[in-house]
Amino acid sequence: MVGSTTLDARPLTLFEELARRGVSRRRFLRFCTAMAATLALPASYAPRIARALETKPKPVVVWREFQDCTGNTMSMLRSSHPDIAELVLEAVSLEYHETIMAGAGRAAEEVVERVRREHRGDYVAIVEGAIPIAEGGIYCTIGGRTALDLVGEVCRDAALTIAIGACAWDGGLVAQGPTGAVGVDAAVPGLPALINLGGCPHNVANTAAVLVHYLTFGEPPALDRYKRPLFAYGHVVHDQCERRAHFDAGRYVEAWGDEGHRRGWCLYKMGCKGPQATYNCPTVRWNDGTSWPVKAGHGCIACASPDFWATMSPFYARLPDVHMIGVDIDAQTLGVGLVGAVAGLTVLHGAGKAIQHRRARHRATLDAAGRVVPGPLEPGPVEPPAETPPTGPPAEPPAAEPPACAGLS
Amino acid sequence: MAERVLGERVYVWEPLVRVVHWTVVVSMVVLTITGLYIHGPFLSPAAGDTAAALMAQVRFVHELFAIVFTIAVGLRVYWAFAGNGYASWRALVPHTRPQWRNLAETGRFYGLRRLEPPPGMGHNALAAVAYLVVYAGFAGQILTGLLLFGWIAGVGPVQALFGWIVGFVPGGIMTVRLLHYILTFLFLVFTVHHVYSSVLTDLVERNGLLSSIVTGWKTRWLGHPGEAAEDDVDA
Repeated sequence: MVGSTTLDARPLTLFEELARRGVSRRRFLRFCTAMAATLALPASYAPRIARALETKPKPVVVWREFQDCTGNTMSMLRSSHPDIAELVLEAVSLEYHETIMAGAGRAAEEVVERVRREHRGDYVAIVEGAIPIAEGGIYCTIGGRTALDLVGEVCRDAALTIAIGACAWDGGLVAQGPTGAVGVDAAVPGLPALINLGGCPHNVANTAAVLVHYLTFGEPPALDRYKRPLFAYGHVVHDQCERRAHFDAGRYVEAWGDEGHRRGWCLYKMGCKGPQATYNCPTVRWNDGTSWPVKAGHGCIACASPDFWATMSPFYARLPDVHMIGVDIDAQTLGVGLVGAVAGLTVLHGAGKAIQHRRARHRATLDAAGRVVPGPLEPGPVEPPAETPPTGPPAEPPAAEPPACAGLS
Repeated sequence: MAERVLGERVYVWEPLVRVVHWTVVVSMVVLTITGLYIHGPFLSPAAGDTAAALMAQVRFVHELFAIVFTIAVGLRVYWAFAGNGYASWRALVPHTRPQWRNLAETGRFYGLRRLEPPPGMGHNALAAVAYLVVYAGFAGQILTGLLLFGWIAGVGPVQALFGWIVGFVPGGIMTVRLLHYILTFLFLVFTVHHVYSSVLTDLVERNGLLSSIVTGWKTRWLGHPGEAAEDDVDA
């Protein structure tokens, strides 16, 4: 599967490679139609896709892993009945893939060198995992060279770079650590053709669709401002969710395992991030299109959203916590506390104002005609006014006062 | 202090100011209740109600009153440039020496350092500053609301005009949602203070402050010290 022996012979097309792996032509055409649908293209594009995959040589692919959990590789490999999309990823000329290649050491690294030499500007680089850039990138080295070095040379010589998974996109979970982990775009700025396939992990159907699009049209699909393909990241999960009707009706799961949970009601109150997430997860699904998290009864964690580990947590609450000085407090506690505090202060102020007026009334006098004249507007300083005799004993003996005054005057 | 004598009636709040005030009151009540429901749905449809659309209806009402609220706030901002002296931005933004003095004196009133607020017909300078802050909050609430609406709509004029902003907000749409929720409580805080201080001032000044937001008229007491000099702040 890895390390092709056919580099010197006429390169196989993707269709021929699939046929060699036992994929019938009928299944191949079904795949082309499904790819057209995934790419949000009309069905009339299916023959064009089929023609491209039948005539163009299958692309040479180098798959590099850095700070990762191999979850994206697993997403491609760990399928009991491999979907054809997974087969496509395996059927490309996967010249280098640390996890699944047979070679190791210097021999393996030389494969990358050969691809860069013989297919310069022609191959596809797939990057999985984040690249640490703190302290010169020493936190991830392969064969004595830093990930920063390796990702730079393999991506700059590629025709197309695909960053798969959250880590290769924007650092993902690793970015929360101390190694200064970043995604490909930040590690190698200015790549001419970069596609970010965020998600934890990537969805193989989308990655295959991107490759098919590239083979068919010779260019990446339309991208958003994060360089993610719009066909996969352009729609809110909530709008594609099969539980959406329960949301609109007002039927929500209140606790794990309750009646609503067993009936498949909406997971909104359990902190589902579907309303905030954009991804085609509900339509493409996982494990041969079998299921996806919400269908399985767990809320969406918006794994394909920017910096989702930081922005979308806590995963089981509606809103992020408010970070104050050293304390995380949830927004509702903060809001209700604020209103309560102000209401309390208001009551205190009202009492203070009432006392102030009562004291002013005590100072009211009658004028010559016998009409009430209120006390002075200004209650004066905290000490009693001059006309009121002091109630308590003086703090200092009066004898001490005259000399001081005399001295001043 | 001179004795108070019932004086002339003064027309302070024009119809637009009063209509906007009560429109905003009604909108805020509706938006707060529906908004809290959208945040944490506290009612469920009856069991077996197959045609229930509770959340959908609440959201519709929320969006409807959000439009009403936005128009009302927009009209009031317009009126700050087209209305009378009491409604003008000049009466709201403290920029003259009398206004700064009025601000300090009103602060002393609330600090229990003087019995009555400084005399005046329109907003006192402290209230004006409070309204500026609240209107900044309104602007924030309207903007975050539009971002959330555009996010849900996905396409259309709102998303086209405002959607790009989300990409520049640290934390993205979640921060927008959090701000939209937190601001609600700031308005509740303001409402508590606003109702209290208007009742308090009405009790102390006895110039028809509470009824003025219905009728538009206040009463000017004669023989109130400093009245003529300080009233220029508002007019």
